Amino acid sequence: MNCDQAFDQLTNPRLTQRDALERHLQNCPRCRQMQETLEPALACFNEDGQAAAESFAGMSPNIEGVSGLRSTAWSQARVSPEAVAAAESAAARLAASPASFRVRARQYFAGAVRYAAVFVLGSLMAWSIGSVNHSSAEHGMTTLPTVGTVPCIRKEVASANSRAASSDARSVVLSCNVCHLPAP
Amino acid sequence: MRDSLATMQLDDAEIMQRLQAGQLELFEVLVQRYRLPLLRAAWSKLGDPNWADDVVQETFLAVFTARHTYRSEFSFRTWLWTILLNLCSRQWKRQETRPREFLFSKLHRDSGTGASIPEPIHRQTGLAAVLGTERRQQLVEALSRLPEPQADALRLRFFGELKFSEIAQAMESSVSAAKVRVKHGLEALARIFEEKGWHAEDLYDEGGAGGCGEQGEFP
Repeated sequence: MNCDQAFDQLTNPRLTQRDALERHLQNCPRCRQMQETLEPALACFNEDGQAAAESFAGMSPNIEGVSGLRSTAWSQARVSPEAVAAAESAAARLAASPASFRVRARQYFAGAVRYAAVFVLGSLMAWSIGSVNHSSAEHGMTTLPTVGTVPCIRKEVASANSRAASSDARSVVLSCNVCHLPAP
Repeated sequence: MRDSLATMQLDDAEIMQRLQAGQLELFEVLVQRYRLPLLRAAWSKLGDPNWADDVVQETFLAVFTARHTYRSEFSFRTWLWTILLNLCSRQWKRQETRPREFLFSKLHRDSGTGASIPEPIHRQTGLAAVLGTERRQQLVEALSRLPEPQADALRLRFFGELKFSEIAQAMESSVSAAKVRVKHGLEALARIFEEKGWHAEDLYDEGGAGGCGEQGEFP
């Protein structure tokens, strides 16, 4: 925990990292001094909050008992145009704020990362296929099987007279083109 | 019962989305969630519980009416507290031109079709017993002696429990400025308590805190 985080915790009505704060205060005389200086005011707010919360906890759990209004009443109650304008202008300002832009940017970035990942993966796959074909071409082989370049091994095997039949997979594939690919 | 509990656990953004989709009954969840802290802040700012209740009611009405303008990119509570601060400032100006009784009775009259606007919450719930104690008035008085930006930053931090980034958005300042305001405000309050001889342990003794109805209605 750094000093900035310690200040955040000291002034947090719901202290969430008590242990970490205590460790920081033990090791940081500056923050310890700040805590001592601010303690009277902090204690006042904390106790005020506890007192109000205890009182509020004793209230009826019925939501209507708190607000006293049904949803229909909210719809029907009159509100000043100025108050509504204040709400609308606050919403417009907050929506245009840098923080909101950062939220939208994070959302767009997340989407862009997904699309980029798909693009990269697709590119890698295309590249790997291309590199296989390229290495085949370097060894004097055609990229794609060509009709008629290799005699049909099946027939030669069937005739049992062929000594030229090759047993490697590529030769088998190429030989199949004799029957299975249309003539160029 | 289970549905009610699940509803109460929905976050603000989810509730607003459903509200915008037409589930108007969910607005009550937001009211229950924020009414007390809004009331505490408004009371400390305006110094009068009835005015505070008016402003809080108006804040909720404005949020309900303008619910279509809410966007999930910003925090609901930042929006809510921004509206409260604006309406509190407006209430100050209104107090100069209209008596307070007119405003509250106007709310009752204009509700129209028989829907009742309730008595102020502090009368309903005995909250005045806590919020209206002499000692709490000392906190309110101390806050009133601070520069308004510092006092508002403290209200947003301690009553509203807003993060510093949210305080900055609500008050149109930077995050560091929000932190400086809170720090300087706390230092100033501590000096005021020292001057006045007020001590935190004296402000809320165990017997007095949370005493609903103990002191009756706030005068």
